[in-house]
Amino acid sequence: MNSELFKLKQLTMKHIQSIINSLFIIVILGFSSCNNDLEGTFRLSDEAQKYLIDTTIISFRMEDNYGISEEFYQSNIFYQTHHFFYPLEDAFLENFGISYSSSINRFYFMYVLRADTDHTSMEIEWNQKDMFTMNLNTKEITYGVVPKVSFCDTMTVRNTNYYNIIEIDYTDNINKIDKDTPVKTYISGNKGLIKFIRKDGVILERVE
Amino acid sequence: MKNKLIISILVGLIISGCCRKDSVEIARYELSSDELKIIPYELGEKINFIHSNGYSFDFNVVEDKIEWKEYHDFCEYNCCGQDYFSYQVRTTIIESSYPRFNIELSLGGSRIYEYIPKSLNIEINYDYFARLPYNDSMNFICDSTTNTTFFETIILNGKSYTNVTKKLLDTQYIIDTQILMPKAIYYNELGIIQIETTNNETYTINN
Repeated sequence: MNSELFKLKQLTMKHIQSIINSLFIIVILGFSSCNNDLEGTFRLSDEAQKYLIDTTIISFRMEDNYGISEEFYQSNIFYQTHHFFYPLEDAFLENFGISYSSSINRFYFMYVLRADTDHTSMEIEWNQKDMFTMNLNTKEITYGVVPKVSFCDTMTVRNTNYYNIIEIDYTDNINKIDKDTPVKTYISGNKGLIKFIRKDGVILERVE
Repeated sequence: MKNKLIISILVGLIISGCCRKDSVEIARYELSSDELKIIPYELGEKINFIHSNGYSFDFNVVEDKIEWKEYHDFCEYNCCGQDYFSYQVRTTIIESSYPRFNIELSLGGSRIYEYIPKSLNIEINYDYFARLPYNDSMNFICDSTTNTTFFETIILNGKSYTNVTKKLLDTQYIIDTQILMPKAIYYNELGIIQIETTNNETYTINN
């Protein structure tokens, strides 16, 4: 009986030892994998370079379809520094951002491009109410109410030609956006906001 | 024994730190019925306005309240039992959905400042401000120091208005003065009768 008990004890100890050894190996492997910090400099994609709005444009005038004037000016609430490298672990991620407020209607418009490790994302926000994020590589909307986003080479607004156009269209989700978020927004890659159409049918267009 | 002594001292200090003296109200400043008439709007009212290029829109009176507030002098130490006075403030807010205007009118005080006696304060879209002081006869004080002008009669948007006060607006957030912005406000017994912008566009009451 005693010898059987002794054998049982030995077997149990062996099992416990195996379990402890296995756990030790797992922990070591786990810690060793944590040492792979992000490194390097991640830049905005080649495509994103077409949409770096000219930050020297401090203000611009718009006029609506009723003859009412509006002016957008760089608000500097966010992105006072427009172009910078954001530090993350041992890496640097290129960021570009610009925001505008308007002096008559209190509109607020923010536009951001961010480099990630494997893609560039674009964020567009209106009046701090509706914001969406798009993976520029896959064209997938990854955050926010989903608009239809399309790209074209040129667009003419009030007899002025603009290039590298981004169109944001919330028509299919018009009931999900704020009352003051435009149903359609047009952005020129170089000049910035050039036109937008409100839910109430008011159309504001850039005046050069 | 030592611990009990320390605890007793601490409790004594805490009790002695409590304020047992009530604050004393030394005055009450109520808005008179004549003062209240300076803001002619009523809650739920619609006021039609028209842009100089013809676009017509409504302002809605979305808030109209009268409340009592307390004014306490700034105090850093030994503030227990400090005197204060009470004053009445009337706040009226009118809004339009497009153009997006939010206009706050107040008497007796304002959103930013506390007690402002004998003044009509107007704030447009949290960015543009006007203060119109008035005298005991409820007439706005118009002179060069207040940037306020009085017109017995004036034509605005093709209509004649009497006893109109024009006040230039101040702004503290928009530094670039070349930017298009509201420049002046015209006011009389009807309330706001016109907002004028720096490019001479106007938003005028349509009555």
